[in-house]
Amino acid sequence: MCNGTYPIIGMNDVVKEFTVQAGDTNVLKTLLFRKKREIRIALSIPYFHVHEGDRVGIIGRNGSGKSTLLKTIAGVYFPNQGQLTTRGRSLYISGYSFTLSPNLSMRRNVFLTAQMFGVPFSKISELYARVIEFSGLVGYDEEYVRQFSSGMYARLGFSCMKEIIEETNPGTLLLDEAFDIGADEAFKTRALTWLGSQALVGRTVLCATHNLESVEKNMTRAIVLEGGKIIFDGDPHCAMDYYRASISS
Amino acid sequence: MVWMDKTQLRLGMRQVGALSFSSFLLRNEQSVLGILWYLLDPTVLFLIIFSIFSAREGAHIAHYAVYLFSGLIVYNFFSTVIAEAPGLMRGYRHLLIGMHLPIPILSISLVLRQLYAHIFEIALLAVVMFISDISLFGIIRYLPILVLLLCFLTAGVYILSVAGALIADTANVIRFALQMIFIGTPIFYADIIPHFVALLNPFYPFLILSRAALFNESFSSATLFHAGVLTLVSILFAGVCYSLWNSRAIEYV
Repeated sequence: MCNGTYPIIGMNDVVKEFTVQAGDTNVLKTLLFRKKREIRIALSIPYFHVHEGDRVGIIGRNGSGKSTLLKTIAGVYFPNQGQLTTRGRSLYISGYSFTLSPNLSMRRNVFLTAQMFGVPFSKISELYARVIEFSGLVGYDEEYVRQFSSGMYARLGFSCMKEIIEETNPGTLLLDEAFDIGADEAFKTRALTWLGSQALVGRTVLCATHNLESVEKNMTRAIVLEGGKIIFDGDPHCAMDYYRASISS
Repeated sequence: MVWMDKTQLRLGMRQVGALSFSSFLLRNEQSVLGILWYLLDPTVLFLIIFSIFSAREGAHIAHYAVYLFSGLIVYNFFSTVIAEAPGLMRGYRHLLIGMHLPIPILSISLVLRQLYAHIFEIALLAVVMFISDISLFGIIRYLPILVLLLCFLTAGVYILSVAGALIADTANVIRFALQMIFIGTPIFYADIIPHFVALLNPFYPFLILSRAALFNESFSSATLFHAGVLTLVSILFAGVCYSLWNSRAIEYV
């Protein structure tokens, strides 16, 4: 989709390299024996533009560069070559529970997560009440999160992120594994409904996921990555067919 | 520049506050003594060293209890922050990568966390000063020295956290250096340090200035200059580190 304006995200000839840190290399060997460190090209993108309102699903096998692409756009990694431009305010989220500290209570975790994402202190109490309502974790306020089951953990993490997204209202969402919720079916349905109807609508979204069904259902565009390169860019349904064909071949 | 606008600055301040306070609480969560553990380290060390050295060193150092305790708490603050710096990025990898938390935020939050503990130490020092009949105005005079030390430590923590991500040996080097600094600084003995050792010791000027403040003595301009130069150089070097390695350090974590 191109509306003729400047792209929200523009990548031209972007290359991202990583130094291979193998177990048998160390600084001393490298310095004394001038051992050359191996470089691996994780991303090689000649052209990739995302315009306002695009909802782009990023799919590919493990190690194809999905997360690296998102992290490079988010600014976690910096490209070694090429030009990357971004416009507006974006929110990058990698998983839903990474800010939760097992040795803090649920209440303290929600407060900490909200503050880390810049929610004003005056709004955190209301945000906390909404987290409890959506997650269904009533009565667990002072319990340590390490005592939660994995499903409860996932519910808390997702509910926190849901409220963060609604509160901070970013123009662009960069989501890594957004559709992998990890909770029971009832909560998963509710969460995916919210994602599809509220989180993704009206925003520019890039979402890396293995959940092909959600990409077909929620995204307006999809790219397939292989070896750090975009091998398909277009309609999500065609992207799914292309991806499935490439897997089976 | 780390932050370019007011929104980012406000966000950064919230993140620093949230991280420093939560890590301060986390340290002693569920422990019986709780925050008193922060005081145990310098207090036990004080009691042991005082019992061994008070007869010898205390003979020619006035108010040896305050002299020793002030040295220990300032060293404890300095060494705890520096010792944790190399492993900082690995410890908070999930936040650095998961939400693109800037590395300087971590550095400031580590220093701030230890400052909360240091406030308790200063309160205990005030009690020792009161018992030793030394004016508590010294605590007020200590505050500007503390600010200078905070600036030095924040820059130092950033440099060491990036170094720790790039070079695994950094933590070992720092551990060794802190042992040398403890022995090579007049914390529990009179100031008989040779000049060249004092110049090489980054903690030395801050300790001497702290003591001068607490004992209501005049500050030596040479020591003040030494501390100022150290702080300025560390800030400049942190800036160089930021421009050269900030974007790459995260890839090694």
